[in-house]
Amino acid sequence: MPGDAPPNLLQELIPQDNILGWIFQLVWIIVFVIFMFYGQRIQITIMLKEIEGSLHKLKLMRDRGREIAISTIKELGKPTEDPAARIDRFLEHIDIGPVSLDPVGIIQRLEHIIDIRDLRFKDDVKLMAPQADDTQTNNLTNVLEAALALNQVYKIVRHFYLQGKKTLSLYIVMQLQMILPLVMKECEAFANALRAFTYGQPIGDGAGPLVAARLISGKNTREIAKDIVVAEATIEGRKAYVLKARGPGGNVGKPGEAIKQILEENGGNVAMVVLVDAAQKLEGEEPGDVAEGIGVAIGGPEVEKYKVEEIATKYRVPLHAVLIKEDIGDVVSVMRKEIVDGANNAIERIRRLVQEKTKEGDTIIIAGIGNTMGVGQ
Amino acid sequence: MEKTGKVPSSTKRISSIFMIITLIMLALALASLFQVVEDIRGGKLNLANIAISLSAVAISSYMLFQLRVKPLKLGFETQEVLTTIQCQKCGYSNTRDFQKGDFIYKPAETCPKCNEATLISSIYRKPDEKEKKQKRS
Repeated sequence: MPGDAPPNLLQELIPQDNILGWIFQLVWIIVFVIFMFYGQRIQITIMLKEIEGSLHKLKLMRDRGREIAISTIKELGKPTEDPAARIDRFLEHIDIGPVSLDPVGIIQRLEHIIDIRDLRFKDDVKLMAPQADDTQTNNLTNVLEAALALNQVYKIVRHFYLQGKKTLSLYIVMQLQMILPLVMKECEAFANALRAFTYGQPIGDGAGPLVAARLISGKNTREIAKDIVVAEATIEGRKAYVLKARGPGGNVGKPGEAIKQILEENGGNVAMVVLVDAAQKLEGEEPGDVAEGIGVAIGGPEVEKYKVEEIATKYRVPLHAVLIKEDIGDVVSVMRKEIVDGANNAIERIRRLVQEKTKEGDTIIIAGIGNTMGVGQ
Repeated sequence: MEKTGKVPSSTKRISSIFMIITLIMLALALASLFQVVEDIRGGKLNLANIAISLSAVAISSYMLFQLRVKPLKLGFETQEVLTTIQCQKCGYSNTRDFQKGDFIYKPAETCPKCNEATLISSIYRKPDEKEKKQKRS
């Protein structure tokens, strides 16, 4: 009989024959209308909330970084006055790049600006920490640079967050929200770096200098360019000039200038230049994996890379690269075991490369590129 | 640098509006569950209502659980760093905790086997739980 048929599930869930059913229907219509007209605004509000959370974390990181910088300078530098005000001024430092409208001589101008920056930072650190020795001064410069990076990232993210909030522009907010995971990852790496720099521990970027140090351990070194030392070694019957930044303080030096000097000293009579550096791994690759290639494996503002390319082209010297893969977060964090093992594998690769590409009695240059913090020679 | 003013706490921030909404949801879910129990006592078994009210209680409890205060990990946590010392003559090696002032190729204590000078051959950090998990997967 029709009257005995069981009520269907929809009728059970949203009864349409009573007042509750009508209320539910009305709510659905209101929600639909709200989403139709205010959907984008709601989306922006949710995204701004997410950004606000990350911004709060960035602020904590920035403040903690500042605290660590102050306490480290007080501990190592034994200043007579409170360095907080000077550090606060330092954390607001701005670099102005050279004019690129007329690119002639831009590399030399960029190098000049980088030199001034380097000198200014070290002078400031010496004023803040008068009792610190050279190694500590270099490490403190690195500490302050990491704190400066955290402050700048925080301020840039805050700028776009406030701009997005003011204009309610989905495109400003969306772009910020999309890059935020990568920004946070980099900032966490800087936070890790601050600890490593405070204690002078080797960092992932030091993979190149570690390889060079393994090759010249116990040999006499001389300074060939600013903060770069070189030693002569015999590798598979070849005369090798092995160079790295002067450690164990945090330093990258001027490897391009050093390679130029060695090539000029030898009248370009060099069979091969091998550059060993840390390289950013792709997701899915293992940290510490070693890859080979050609070209100048020098990161940063490219001044040193330009110098090597220029001089190698002049003398037609082959340029080889041996790269130790690592994550962006590992570059400025304390060195992982896999990277130490990667450095040992890189030495094997260099030996094979030397055997295959050069003859006995040839002269070669091996350059360990990167920050040599915590790696002596 | 602008004045930081009140120092923010290093814990996860929780929106008070979100907390209130979650608590209201939990209260409504419990009221609906109570209603279902009353219906069952009255001999009326409505399976759809039971399922909906139990799900509502579960979802709102889960949301409340997720809102619990957790300290934020900023990346400044101290990591366990190890120093390996190696004897250049006999190959003896020993790994100990990192000490301030250690650097690679720094002369270290004398070798307990051959009494020769040793060197620090490597300094590295122990992988944390997150990295170990990533490696396993």
